[in-house]
Amino acid sequence: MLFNSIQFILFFIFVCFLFYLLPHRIRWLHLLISSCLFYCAFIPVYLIILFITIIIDYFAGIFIERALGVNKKKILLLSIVSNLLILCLFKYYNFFVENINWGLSFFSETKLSLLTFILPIGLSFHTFQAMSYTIEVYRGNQKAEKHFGIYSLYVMFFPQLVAGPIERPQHMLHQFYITKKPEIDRIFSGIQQMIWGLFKKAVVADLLGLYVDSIYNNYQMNTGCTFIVATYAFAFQIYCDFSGYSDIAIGAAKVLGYDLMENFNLPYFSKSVTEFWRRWHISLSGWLRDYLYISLGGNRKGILFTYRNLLITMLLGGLWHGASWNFVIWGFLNGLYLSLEKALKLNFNSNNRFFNLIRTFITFNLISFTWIFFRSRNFDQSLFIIKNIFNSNYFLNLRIQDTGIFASMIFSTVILVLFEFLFFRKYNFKTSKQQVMSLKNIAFVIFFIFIIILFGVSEGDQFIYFQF
Amino acid sequence: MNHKLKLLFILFFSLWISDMIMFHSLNYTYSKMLAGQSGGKINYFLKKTNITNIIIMGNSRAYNQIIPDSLGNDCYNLAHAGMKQTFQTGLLSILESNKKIPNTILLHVEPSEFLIGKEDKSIQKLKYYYGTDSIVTKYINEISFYERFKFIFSSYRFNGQFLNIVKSLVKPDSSDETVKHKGWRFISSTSRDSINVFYSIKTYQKQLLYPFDDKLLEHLFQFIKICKKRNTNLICFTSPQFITSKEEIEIANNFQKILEKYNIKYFNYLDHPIPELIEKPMFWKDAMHLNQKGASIESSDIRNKLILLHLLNP
Repeated sequence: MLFNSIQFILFFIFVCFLFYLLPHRIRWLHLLISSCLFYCAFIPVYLIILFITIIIDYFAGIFIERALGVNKKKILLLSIVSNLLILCLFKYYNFFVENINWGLSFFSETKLSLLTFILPIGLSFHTFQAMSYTIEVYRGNQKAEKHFGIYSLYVMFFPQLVAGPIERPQHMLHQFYITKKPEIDRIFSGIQQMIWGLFKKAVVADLLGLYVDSIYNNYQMNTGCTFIVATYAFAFQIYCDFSGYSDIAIGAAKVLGYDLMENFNLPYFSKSVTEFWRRWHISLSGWLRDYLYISLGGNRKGILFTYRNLLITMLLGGLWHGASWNFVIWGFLNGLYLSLEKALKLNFNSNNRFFNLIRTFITFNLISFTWIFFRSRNFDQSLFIIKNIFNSNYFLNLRIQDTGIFASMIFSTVILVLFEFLFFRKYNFKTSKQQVMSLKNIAFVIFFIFIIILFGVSEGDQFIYFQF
Repeated sequence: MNHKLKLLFILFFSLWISDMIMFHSLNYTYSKMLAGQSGGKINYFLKKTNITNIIIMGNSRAYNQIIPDSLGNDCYNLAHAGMKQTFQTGLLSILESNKKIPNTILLHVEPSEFLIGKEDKSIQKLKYYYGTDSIVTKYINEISFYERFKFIFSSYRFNGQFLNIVKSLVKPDSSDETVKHKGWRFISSTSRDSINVFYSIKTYQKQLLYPFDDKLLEHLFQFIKICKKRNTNLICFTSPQFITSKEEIEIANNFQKILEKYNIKYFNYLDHPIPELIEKPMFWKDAMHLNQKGASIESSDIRNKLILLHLLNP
């Protein structure tokens, strides 16, 4: 059940109505059942894996709280290893085996066999969310949750179950105990954010996706300028796809009375890669910073160790996205950018608008370059595209494919950039002005409903981040 | 609270009234649109032509490759790029209700599109006719139970066509393609064509042999049924490919057997390619599409076949 489907809209309306009709004491059960149904709409059998993770971490949390000294750490390690084992088995097993087979091919004909199953939807997201719970209990920032149902809901809450934001237990768990009343302003604000997210996904991302797929899937037939346009298009596609999902998730939770953390903050307006990573996938960046980068020593052990830690964090961040060398390269490049910015001590604070514009443009291009590896199916494809971007033969041969789709994707991207530049730089859905039902906000909703009706891709793709 | 209720009323009323205004203004402009693949070509055919002999239907391999003038003056190419069988049957139903079905229909088919595991949602390109044409409505509803909910907003009928409609307001004339070339799209050859053909071969994916999907075939049978009801000669054909696998030939031959049961003639260029086109990259845009030089060869071959069938005068 995708967020950009009629099925989800009907499901969500039903869940909301029932949620506010039911007494507070059984709302958790209603949300848990709804979340199970939501997850079952993808591949029902994978609910078992989710429950295994939930059971492990639920008991780990309780035992960590009770244990003393070294035992505390042992239980934490046991729970982390169990979570990572499940993640590795489903996500990385085939990747490791393929690489081992490649190595073996130099010495013998023996080959290890690959597993053939589909990756459970959103596995990396809910595994990381579950891990943050045990780590926070270990660090003493969160009390172990005794209510199994509430803990399950923390991992399974349907708006953020399959693609985040990756929440922290301190921010989320207590919210399930607070009685929620239907506040019209809050509900309206949630719907408004959902519509904005739907615009990003069903209009911008899916239209750009049609073009990007046609170019990247037939890359041998395209040349320089086409690759540049397609890569820029992918930069906006992935941003709108993922931030659109996050907006719908945050908006849906808000309608039900829950606050989820913001996951994106206009990342393409960043003036440096460091700033970009503070604004892009904030919940994952924060997770990696708090649980990996700082645990490795952060910047406390000298300059060289800082660079090493940055690179390791970003490499693993890349690998988190998918089991492929392309994701590793993508992570490495981002780690390299961050290290270089730190090493060169570049100062990006300036009041000069022109200088800031140039910085933003350079950052956007640096990030777009990394997206080539992210979008390509393999390293050869990435290399072919990069070579052709810098090849003058047929450079200006821009392939437009369908003029209607091309015009629509330009139009929708312009609307997105204009709204982000003129509106969302000053207000976001957390500011008071956006939280109130007013004529201006009604006009916003109506405008974007019609943009979705007229431009939305009715048979839109699955969200890119679902595969992670 | 009263203020909030008032605002809620304003929201729903504005949505309803905006939808009405949007629908009627787009509907008016759409009906004046006489060019392009977003419905203009269909409008042009329905309103401005008086073709009684032959129309060509199918996907880009008919749209770019069959030159109507090769088949006489009374011929029009009504093919649309990327469209599969549900679109063709839906379009035929629209032609039928507008009494625009000619003596002969040349329908381009891709046998592999009827195999199990394939999807056909191309009927969505005819969503303008949802609620007015029974077959279009039925096929759209068949896509999924939830599809009908999208039409709560009348303006949804113009989904994906807004800019084309606006463009037709700015430049209302029919294009060369629609009028001068009678629906045929002229593809000039470029110096990159042979490179494209080479890469198409490199990335060429063979079709696997699966049984045909009865549900997908049903759309074709509906097409045949309308033709029989209207006493229209239906000729199916599959354009040649630069590279064809044994499996594809077998699929096409099995497909031919199905058509034979309905006494439908089938020009199977996969099994019987045109000798002049074999291994000659200069006639190809890529491994699946001919350029205008190749198009004139295929068109004249079809012309000769139609003459032999006495459907065209020599």
